[in-house]
Amino acid sequence: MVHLVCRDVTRRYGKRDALSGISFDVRAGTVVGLAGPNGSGKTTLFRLLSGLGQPSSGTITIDGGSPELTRIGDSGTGVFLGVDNLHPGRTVRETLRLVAFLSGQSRSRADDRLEWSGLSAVGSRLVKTLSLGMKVRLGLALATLRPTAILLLDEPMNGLDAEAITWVKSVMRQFAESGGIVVVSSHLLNELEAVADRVLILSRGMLVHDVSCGSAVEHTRTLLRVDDDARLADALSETGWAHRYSAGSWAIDGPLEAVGLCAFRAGIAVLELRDDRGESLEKTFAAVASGEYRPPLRGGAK
Amino acid sequence: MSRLIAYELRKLFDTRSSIVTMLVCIVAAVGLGALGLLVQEGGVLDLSQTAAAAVLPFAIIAPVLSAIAAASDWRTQAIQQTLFVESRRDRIFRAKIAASLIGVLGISGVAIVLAVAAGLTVGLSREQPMVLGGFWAMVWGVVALVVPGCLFGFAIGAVALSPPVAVAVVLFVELVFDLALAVVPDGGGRYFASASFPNWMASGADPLAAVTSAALWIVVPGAVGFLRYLRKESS
Repeated sequence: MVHLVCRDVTRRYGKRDALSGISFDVRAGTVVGLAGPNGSGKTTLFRLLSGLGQPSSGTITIDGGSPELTRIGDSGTGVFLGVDNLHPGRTVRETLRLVAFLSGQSRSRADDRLEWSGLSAVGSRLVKTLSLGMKVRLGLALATLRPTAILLLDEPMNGLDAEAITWVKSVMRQFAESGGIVVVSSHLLNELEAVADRVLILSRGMLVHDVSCGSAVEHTRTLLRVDDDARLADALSETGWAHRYSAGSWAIDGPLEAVGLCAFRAGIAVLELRDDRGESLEKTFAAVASGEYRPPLRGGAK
Repeated sequence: MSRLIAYELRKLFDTRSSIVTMLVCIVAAVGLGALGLLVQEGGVLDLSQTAAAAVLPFAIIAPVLSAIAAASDWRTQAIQQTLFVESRRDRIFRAKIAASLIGVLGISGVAIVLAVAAGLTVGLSREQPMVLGGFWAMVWGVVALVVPGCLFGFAIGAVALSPPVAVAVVLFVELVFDLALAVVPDGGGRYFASASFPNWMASGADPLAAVTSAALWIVVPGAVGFLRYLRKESS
């Protein structure tokens, strides 16, 4: 099963850190959203994930392999970085066949993707004559031309109508349900929340929030304050839940009821217990954008 | 690597604008070859001279096409589609050079064949005696003209990574700079002229000027362009 791991990834441009200490991991069957204000580092992170750039420090590994395996040519990663990288003077069919040729895929595979994307009727048209929605479809057809385990999609829903957004979301969900990983960025927070299992929020090059969406139990997070942090640390170490401590609060990747029960059984007085999913993505994002956000997950595991 | 070269070669011919450009190049070359036929009216028709005349436009065409081949993907960001599949930029650089050389030599070959065919047709219709003298010398002349031109254009394109800038520089060097150097007293300008290297390849004359010319217009910009290829952010 594919597994994407980012560890302390930093990207510097001169003296400026475009990304700073980004760490997260994604398991198979997951759609992960990336959100953040303009300039927060989303595109830089996509560039690194897609192999177009290298981290200044830190590692990105796929399937537990070496950092060299992050090269997309070696790892079979499908990438969509917008529609600007489509040559405007080439026909739709030739665009697909050309990349298929380079990828070692057959011409029939290219034609199959053409049909899958719903672009058969415009196969002989030049790319520059396509609508934005058609270009996105072509971009996704190119991203899925080779058998891939990871799909990286940078702003695939921008400027699309409702029908096209629905199609893009269905592509992402189907890809994840077939055992792949999708990492998608978008400014459309409602759409992101609807399709993603998790959303990572970036601000000024840092990962400031990792929020679970939908009902995925494994991504449920509980915030907890207790009167005896040392005993709670011991109790949590026996549960296997990922947990972090910062500024007097614990962030625990476990369901609220079970976390409360764990503290109760350890004889620890609970000062605050709440479900982290309570905060809407939009509200969190607004706080991040305004600079008022206080991240609950900063700091290392205690 | 052969697949990457074939991919780059295919890209030279798979858009309408590139096909039109190639056709214009071939028509221009054949047209010049036809002019060569006119000046040979009467006497023996030397088809080699017709071919040599047809190749002359490639002194300009070869570097211009190579400059565009080196730079256009970066301008349109289409380079990302290549990088998504082949992440080794040094291989992309080498494949593009090979494709440019093969592509331009191929077009010049087509132009020569068409020019010679036109010469044959004219010669037969005029019932004029024909010869194909110095065939291999003519072939070497084509190589000496096209290969350095391609390398020069590609190097400039790789440095600029912008087709308009690269083409402007190539045209300025070929049409203005080299001519200006020709009037430098004592012939000192030949050490800096881009044409000195192809001239040496064609005739063997002035090897020192060929070395400085190749260094100045191929090796140094080629090395800088290679580094640009390795480091340029494809945003």
